Amino acid sequence: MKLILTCLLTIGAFFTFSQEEKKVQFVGGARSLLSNADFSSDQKDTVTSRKNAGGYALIDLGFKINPNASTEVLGMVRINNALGGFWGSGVTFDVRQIHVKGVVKNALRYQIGNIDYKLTPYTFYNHNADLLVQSSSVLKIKEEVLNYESFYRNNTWRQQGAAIDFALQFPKLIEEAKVNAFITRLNPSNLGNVLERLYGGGNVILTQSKYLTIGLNQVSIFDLKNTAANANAYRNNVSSISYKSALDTKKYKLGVSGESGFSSSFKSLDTTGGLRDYFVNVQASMEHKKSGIKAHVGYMDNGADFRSFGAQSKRVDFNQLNNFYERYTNDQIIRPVSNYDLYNDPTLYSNSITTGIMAYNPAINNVLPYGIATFNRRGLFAGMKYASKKESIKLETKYYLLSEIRGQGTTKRRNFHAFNAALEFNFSKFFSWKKEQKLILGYAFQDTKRTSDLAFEQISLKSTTLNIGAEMELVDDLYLLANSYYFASKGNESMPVRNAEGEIINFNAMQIAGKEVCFGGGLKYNFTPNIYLAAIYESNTNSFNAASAYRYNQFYIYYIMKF
Amino acid sequence: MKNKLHHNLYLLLGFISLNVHAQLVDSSAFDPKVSGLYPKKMEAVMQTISVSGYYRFLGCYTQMQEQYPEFGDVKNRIFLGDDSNIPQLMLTIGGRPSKTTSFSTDLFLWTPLTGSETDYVKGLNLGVNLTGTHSTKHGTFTVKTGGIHWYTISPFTFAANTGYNRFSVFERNPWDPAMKTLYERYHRFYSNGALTQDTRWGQQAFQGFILDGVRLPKDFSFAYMYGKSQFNGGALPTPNALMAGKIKKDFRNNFVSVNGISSKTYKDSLARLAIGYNLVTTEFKLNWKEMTIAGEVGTGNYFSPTTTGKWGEALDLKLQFSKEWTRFPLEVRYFQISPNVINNNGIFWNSSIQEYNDNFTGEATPGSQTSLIPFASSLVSIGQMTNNRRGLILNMDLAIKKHKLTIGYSAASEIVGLSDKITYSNPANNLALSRFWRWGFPAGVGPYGNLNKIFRGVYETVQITDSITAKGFNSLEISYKTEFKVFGKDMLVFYLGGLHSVQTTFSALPKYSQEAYLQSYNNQLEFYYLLFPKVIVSNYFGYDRVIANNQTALDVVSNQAKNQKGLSYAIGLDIELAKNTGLYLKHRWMNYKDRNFSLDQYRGTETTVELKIFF
Repeated sequence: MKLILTCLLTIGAFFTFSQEEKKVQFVGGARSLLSNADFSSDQKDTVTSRKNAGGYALIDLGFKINPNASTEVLGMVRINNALGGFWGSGVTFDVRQIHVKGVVKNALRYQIGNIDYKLTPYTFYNHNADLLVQSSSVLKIKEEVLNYESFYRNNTWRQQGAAIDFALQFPKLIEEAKVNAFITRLNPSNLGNVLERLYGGGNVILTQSKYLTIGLNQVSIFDLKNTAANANAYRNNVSSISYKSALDTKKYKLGVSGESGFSSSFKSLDTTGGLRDYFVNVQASMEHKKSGIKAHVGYMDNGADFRSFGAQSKRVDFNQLNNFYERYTNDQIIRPVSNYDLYNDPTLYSNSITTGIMAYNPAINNVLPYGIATFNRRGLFAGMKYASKKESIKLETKYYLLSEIRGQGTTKRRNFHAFNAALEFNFSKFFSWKKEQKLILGYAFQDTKRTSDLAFEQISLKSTTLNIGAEMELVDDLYLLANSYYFASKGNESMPVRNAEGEIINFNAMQIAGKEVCFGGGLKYNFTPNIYLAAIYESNTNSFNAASAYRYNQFYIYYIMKF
Repeated sequence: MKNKLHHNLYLLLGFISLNVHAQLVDSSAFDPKVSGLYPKKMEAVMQTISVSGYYRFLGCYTQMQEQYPEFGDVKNRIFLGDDSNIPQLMLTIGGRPSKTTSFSTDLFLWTPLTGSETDYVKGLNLGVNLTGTHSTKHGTFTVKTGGIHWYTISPFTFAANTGYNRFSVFERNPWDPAMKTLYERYHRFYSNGALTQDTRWGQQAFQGFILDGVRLPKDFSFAYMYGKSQFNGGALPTPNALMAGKIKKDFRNNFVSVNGISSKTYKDSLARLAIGYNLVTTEFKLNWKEMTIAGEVGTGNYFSPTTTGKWGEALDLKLQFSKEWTRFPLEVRYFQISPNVINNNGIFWNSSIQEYNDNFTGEATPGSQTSLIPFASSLVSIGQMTNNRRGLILNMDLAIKKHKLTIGYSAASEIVGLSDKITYSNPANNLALSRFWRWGFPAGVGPYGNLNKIFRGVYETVQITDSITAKGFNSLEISYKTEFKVFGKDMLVFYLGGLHSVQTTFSALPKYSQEAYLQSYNNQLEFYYLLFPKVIVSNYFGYDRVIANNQTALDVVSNQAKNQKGLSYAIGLDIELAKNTGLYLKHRWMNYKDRNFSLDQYRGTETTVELKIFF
């Protein structure tokens, strides 16, 4: 077989740096926030400040240096100035990212330093498991800020390490084989008992033709032996095959895609062999070209002991405390992280891979708390997408009918229903108006049930999330924003308590009943698509603690630049 | 091509934004091709940013023969740097991501050259500034956020005092801007009557949000600001803030504006005990033939947990006559500011409100001051107003050939007798004296604990032993400037004189006698000689006298009142080393003595070397 090694054309197109480009260019962003919050609760509270104000102005200034046509060095610093910090006080300097990347011999692309990386939804993937509904209007601004802060783009994880990729092209049978490989460092050794922990892997993507692409994926979290006084090295290996097959006919597009594989998770001195399990996710899709309707149906089976922390790490650790109004009432009770906080506070988010099962809030997402890589789930799912010809109406829905594979603390298993929908109605396209007028609706419903004759085994938990947002262009580039967010959950759960090894050691009964309602509105002015100013007022009420329901109103002004 | 790339990028981002939710992961997520390194496409970049700034080295060597006891036997001191937050290297970095938007920040680097390789200071001076402008047929709107932004609303509401430009220019300011030549700095002061200042001149520092609109229909304009000044409690989370704004209507060369400011700072962390002030004014300027009526009139109040804010008046009225009518420009000015009116962000000082002047953060960090800083009854230069005072000011400018003379006279009095103290300063050696205490701004220092250091100055407090009255203040200030040639080379001579008195009540004429609590006389004479095209020789003579009467605190030994005499002589060289690069050498002999307060004396020399390079 004659094998031709060539540069991957797409790489060449995007990452060979032009000789004409300046040697130093600048990337980054700038943002200022001015906020004024007002907090009150139903309980007598003479120790919590009712009012809170703050803000900052920051610049992320990245120096993009091209020492030659095939190399790029990027160093980005963040200069943050707290509101009220005059003459240099309240200023912090941080390094936001450093990397070098380039192309070797027009064939091999590499990047060292900070890398944004993903492989497949079951191996290495940054699922957004807690913001269930399509954000719009006010929420969209906030979500953009938190995504920017934590480098959440394209479901990648921001890691520190190195990655390479290259491609081989073949004259027959297989059009192309692309190889991706990465190695990142999850934690350094403390030279005591903590071993150096790395995360590495990659895939080989075989493109047989435009009809079939297959990926062979392998990732591994592993401790480097002898880097600390600890012989018990950890391993989490995941191997999978992913595929996408498509058939394009005159009327329809048909496709089959999915991913299947297995994982093993163990410590080298563990005589029990650790956890091993498999997963299957397959779906068939169809698109009716004329009507613009796409539909898919699928089956998933994620083993109870399936562990893939590159795909199961959550963006938010629900064990952490809030940064704003962490405690309230005269008893100074803890205010748990709410849905409002998830949008409001980017510092709750992390971009690190956690080697362990992270805490989650069952009221927010009990069905797939770790995204579709959630372990111990089996069942069917289906969904559809519709976009009218002018794209004046867009609809996307998905339904999951799942159950546990293994009961937790009992032989009884939970059954899950989850329904998500996103609808966008673009009035300007529909009525051919010049000014942009959009209504966006996001809806999520989850139902968890475990039936039993025994009361302590019975679980019933329902959650509803609804977001309605409107964006109305008043005059050129000036938008009126309105948003209404509703979240309610009622029922009970039995939450597993895990030890450091991730083993369940107990269960906590949990009663959930409450609502969170947030109304927001304001004005947004777009200087350019990437530079805008927004003044927003929000009123949020939260009754998940019935005795200490609280209100959290906030006015803020964002000025956001990306360059 | 670039636009197309951007367009594609936006499309890509838009596509991604519709699929960010885990529950909506579709078949494309399993496409093996969407794996690996991201981003897959080149991202937009900004081609240029601007970097400007300056390097300024200032070294100071002081050699004292006699000095205050608090300094012990340490008589020779080396100091490298210039008070707080004045850096050696200032980098102003700015960029324009689009035609109508910009960002800027400034990085300062400073080392006191202590010999330690780690003794460096870095920081921001003005912080991070973001601006955006939008022009429409209805007007041009500008948004400024972050800060520090230098801004002004009106003199009473949000501005810094610019005075009448009667000051010495021998000592250079850290913020003095670059000129074409070194001599131009002095010559402009002679020809224009004012120094060219940088953008902050007359403006106040502000952080937060500013929205202003100009060229609105019917010649209206407006400004709105919400955020913090230096007096709004620093970066504390309590909602300490000020809000200010104005609506202005222009009538050709005339205007009327309505202005307002409201400041609130909380004394407690629960944000329940507010202290602050409100002020609403109208500012105007109306030209009629050769006469101009200008000024500002308003009302304001002060509130605190223990004060119900009574409203008071604030007036500043100027009648200006052009030289066509009076042969020389003449200004008659009347001002009256009630003791109930307070605004530390305006051009007048607070001399009335004494409460809540403590620094409640417990740290004297910049921006952490409370909303109010009270002074005692201050002997101020003409043009510097204080509250609880009313008075008349006359100003005239005379120019005869190459001789330029400006004369100011003011007669003022307090409205209510509140303070049993008078504060004043000794101009001849004031800046050199302020360099005795480094880095902090200590109060109650000096051999008698009555000196207070402020930024680039020291003021002294004298206690009145008489009953408290609404004191009278009189000042006569004369500034004379001329230029001529000596041996065919340019020479400038500046003279500055001040004669002041403070007495028990209002007096139309000054009391240069023992009737006055305090008499203050000062004379400052400066020469600037262009020895070579790039070398200036400068000279400074300063002489001041302060005489208090027996109704002020007497020395326990001599049983006599203050009787102070300060002398200063300095010589300097300004050398233009290269374009935008100046070397300034100055040597000063100083001699000060209070003949009745034996410990209050110092004598010595100070040598400064300054190298300043603009880029």
